[in-house]
Amino acid sequence: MTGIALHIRNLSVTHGGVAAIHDVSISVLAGETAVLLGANGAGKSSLLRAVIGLASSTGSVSLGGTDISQCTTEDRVRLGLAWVPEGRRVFPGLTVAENLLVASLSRHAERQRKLEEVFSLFPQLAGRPSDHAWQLSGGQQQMLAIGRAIMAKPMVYLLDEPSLGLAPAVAESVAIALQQLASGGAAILIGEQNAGFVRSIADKTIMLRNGQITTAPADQGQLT
Amino acid sequence: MLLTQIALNALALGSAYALVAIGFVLVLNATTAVNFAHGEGVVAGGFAAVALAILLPPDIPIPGLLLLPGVLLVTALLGLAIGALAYLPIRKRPPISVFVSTIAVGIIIANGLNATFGAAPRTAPPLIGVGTIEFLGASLSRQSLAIIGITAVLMSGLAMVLQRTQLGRQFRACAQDPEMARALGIRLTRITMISFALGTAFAGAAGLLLAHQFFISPSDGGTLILKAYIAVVIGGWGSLRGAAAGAMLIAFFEVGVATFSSQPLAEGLLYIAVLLVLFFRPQGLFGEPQQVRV
Amino acid sequence: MNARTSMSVAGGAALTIYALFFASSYDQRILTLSGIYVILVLGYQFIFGHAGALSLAQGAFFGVGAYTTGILGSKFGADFLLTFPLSIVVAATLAALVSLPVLRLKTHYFALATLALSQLLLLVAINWEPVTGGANGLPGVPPVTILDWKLTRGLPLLTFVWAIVGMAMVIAHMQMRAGRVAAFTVMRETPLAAPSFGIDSGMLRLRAFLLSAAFGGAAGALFVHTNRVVSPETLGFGVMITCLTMTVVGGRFGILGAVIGALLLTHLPEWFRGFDEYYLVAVGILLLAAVVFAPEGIVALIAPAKAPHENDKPSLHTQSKRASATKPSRLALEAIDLAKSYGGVRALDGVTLSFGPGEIVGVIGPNGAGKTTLANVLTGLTPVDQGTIRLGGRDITNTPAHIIARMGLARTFQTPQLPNALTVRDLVETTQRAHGMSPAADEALDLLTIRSIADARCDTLPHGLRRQVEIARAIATNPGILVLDEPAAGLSPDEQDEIAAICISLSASGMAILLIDHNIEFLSPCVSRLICMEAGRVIADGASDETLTNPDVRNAYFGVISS
Repeated sequence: MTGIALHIRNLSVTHGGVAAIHDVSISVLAGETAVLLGANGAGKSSLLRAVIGLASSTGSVSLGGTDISQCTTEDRVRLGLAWVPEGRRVFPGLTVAENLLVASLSRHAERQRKLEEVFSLFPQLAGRPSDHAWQLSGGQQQMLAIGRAIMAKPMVYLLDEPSLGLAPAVAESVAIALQQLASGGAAILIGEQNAGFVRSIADKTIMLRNGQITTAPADQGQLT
Repeated sequence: MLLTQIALNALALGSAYALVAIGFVLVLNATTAVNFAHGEGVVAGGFAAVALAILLPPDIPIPGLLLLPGVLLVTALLGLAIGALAYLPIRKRPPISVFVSTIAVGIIIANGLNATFGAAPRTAPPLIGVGTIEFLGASLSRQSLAIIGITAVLMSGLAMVLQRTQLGRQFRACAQDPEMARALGIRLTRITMISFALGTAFAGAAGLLLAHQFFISPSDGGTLILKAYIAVVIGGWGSLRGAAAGAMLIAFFEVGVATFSSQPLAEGLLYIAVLLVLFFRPQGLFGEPQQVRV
Repeated sequence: MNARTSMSVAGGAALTIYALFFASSYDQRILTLSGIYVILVLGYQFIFGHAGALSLAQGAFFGVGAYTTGILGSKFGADFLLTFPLSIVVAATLAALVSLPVLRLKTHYFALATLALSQLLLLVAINWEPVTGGANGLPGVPPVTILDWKLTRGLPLLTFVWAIVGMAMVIAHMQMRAGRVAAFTVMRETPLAAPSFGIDSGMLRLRAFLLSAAFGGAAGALFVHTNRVVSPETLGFGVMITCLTMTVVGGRFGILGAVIGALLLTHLPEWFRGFDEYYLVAVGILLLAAVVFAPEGIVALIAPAKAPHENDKPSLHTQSKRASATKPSRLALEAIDLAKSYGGVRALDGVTLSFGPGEIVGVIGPNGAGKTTLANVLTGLTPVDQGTIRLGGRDITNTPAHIIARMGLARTFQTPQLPNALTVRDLVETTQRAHGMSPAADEALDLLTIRSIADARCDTLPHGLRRQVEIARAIATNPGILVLDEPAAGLSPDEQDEIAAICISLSASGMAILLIDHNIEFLSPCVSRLICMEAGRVIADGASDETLTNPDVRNAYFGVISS
């Protein structure tokens, strides 16, 4: 599987008149992991929200060659885009299995098959399908959030700060899971401020600063 | 066994109130807005039963029960209309706008019924006949038993859908985090409209159940929405189980006080109790205090 | 003369000519009712419009006024000079009694509580027969009688009612002078933040609620003089619906909106006579259409207002309780062992810190470290579970935020809390008024070099300017302490430098500044001390480079990247 899976061209996002993202272009190939590195407030979340269609933007976004700029969020997801938000946002009152099942867009049998697949990727979740999501630890919630994205069988994953608040060992296992997704042919775009977490998995790194792509190397003052 | 009968009456009334309150919460959870026309949904259900009863051949032993599907259908359609007219066009505005727009729909329904059927109270056919059944020395009203039975069936049906089906999971996901639900490809608008249909159908069913014993008139919506509202505040904003429990509490309170004094006193004390609850526990009797961050 | 004023004058003249020369006695009765409803709606605008609270008790206050006049009039033949003021007082007293439990409730709960109150009063009216006459009410309410002068129906009553309408308009106008309208706007649009700007939301809401009740009581009293009978209908939900419809259709703000709404809805039955019983259905449709298509009311369609308060500029610089050009008061802020939990999460876990005049103290920490909770706790927006806060030596632990603000602690928010409908100048001056200062925005605006946008509405401003406006508002009251929550987020490097320079010059004049931010490039050059928080605790507090080289800080904050 090759070719550009996600192509963002000249994207700009404005909040109350000022540019949160200004004229950003990024492309991610199938099987590639791209990391958007930047400090808090650099605009990573705004960019990812714009790509999934939750923030209005100008410019264009295409998914596997199809322009989805005019699509609703629901349709973008149905066309193969998945978003794992900052703070996980699992449904606290749904069980682990329900959190996964609700994200499936397929029929019953396929739904169950995919559920088993997620459980085999994250054995920690497999043991507790009937626990409510709020009972999980932060790391397990992150796995659940990624598993939820997998259920829809997307071709592109957008992840916002997946390592935030995770212990190093847990972050490591999340990174391994992401590597497996990429080797399965998915394109992955990660917004991160923790360079250490993504160093091992990034195929390419894009620096974002004040809403724009910059070529300046990462320094400490920025990577806070 | 007077006490058994009083308890049964209270249970029946509470069941009907619980249907109203649960329908109210279904819409509330899908929209985070109060549907003030919900009480008129109950009234519409009652009048749908009155109107549809004409179509039934005479001397059927279970007339009310046969009317149930028709009443559910009519009020579900009404719910769709409420959602499409009073919610969808202004969904992005502050919740107070939906409050006012649904008040407007309530006016339209109540006065439309008033102009069509007249202001006088009407009665719907009994559900499974009139009279009582003797059981262990107590005579139990057929109507009350039927109300409790139908409510049990409808509520378990809802629980089944919510717990076991993909639609139910989508419902609950939308209630907990609508934006995240959209970002998983769940069609929020569709779920919202189904909530309006289902919620109003529950109200309509309650209308059918109440309209035989307690009569129904076009102006009853206000009192009914108030009771649903109170049940939801008592039970915790947004909780289905809490709403049902709150409704039962209200019914037992009403029937209890009314048995020993009078109906107006029962209602009056209920309203005073609500004001006291709000004074001492602004988050409701069973609700958690909410923290909002700037 | 602006469009709205000339339209009002022309309309008023036309209406007067119609009433005097063309109206039948029936028409005059309708016009009398219109006037009564104008008073009711003017009252409702205070609570529903300005305070933004959906009260469903306006009909109840109307009914209380009606029954007070009805009972005193029909049973004792009491004089208007007694019954009318008493009707107002009884309604307002009732509002005052229920305000304690009811006014602090949020949106839906407030609506429910006011609805329950209305239903309760209706039950009393129907069932307390010896006094209220029960379901049939009391007939034989006398006409308006002042001393020995009896007012007949028709033109005399019409003129009398509209004279009172005129007085109500004057009172409404005086109550809602520009400054207060702006304070209401801040409270309504940024309710959670408003206390931090010195605005006493509780008092504003109480004022609006009492005024709405007083106007409602007056309208109810006049209503029974017109009908000569008082019945439970005056307390019914119908009156409330009518009032709500008039307000939504006419407009939530301003006299013209009230007049248009009342005139329209009282004349609608005449115009819609062909609809017969379906007339009220038409009213419902009208209300629905107004909500959906004309959310600001008809008045906004025919005579678009600028901001509602711009029609009457106050005479500036008249009230000077405190000169505004003073130096900031020198204050120190001390926090000892603060703890705050949300659910099971300890957002603050034993935080102790202090800073004083001339200091700029930076606070850094990863997301969720408790920085914003700290700001909310210090400024009184969030009560603490444990610990003590002292401002200038005085214990301010769990003191209401507006009082802390007035003592000289100002702040900004992570997301600028600016109400859309106000201009920058109005915003700044509203805060100054709330602090008992005479309004004078220019100095603060000059300091931020944003005087050129003084007359721009806040919702037209770009993000960077919004931050500057927030800072201008905060310093316009010469606070001793300034807490800035992420002032540099989302700003360009140039804008960040500007903010840093302003902080430095403010601290030079004696202000104590707490700067919460992520951006060390921004903080380093201007702070005199740097505090690092993690998981609700202070893990380092010292000179900037000391904190930054602290191993705990490097571990917690820079994590793996420093390896």
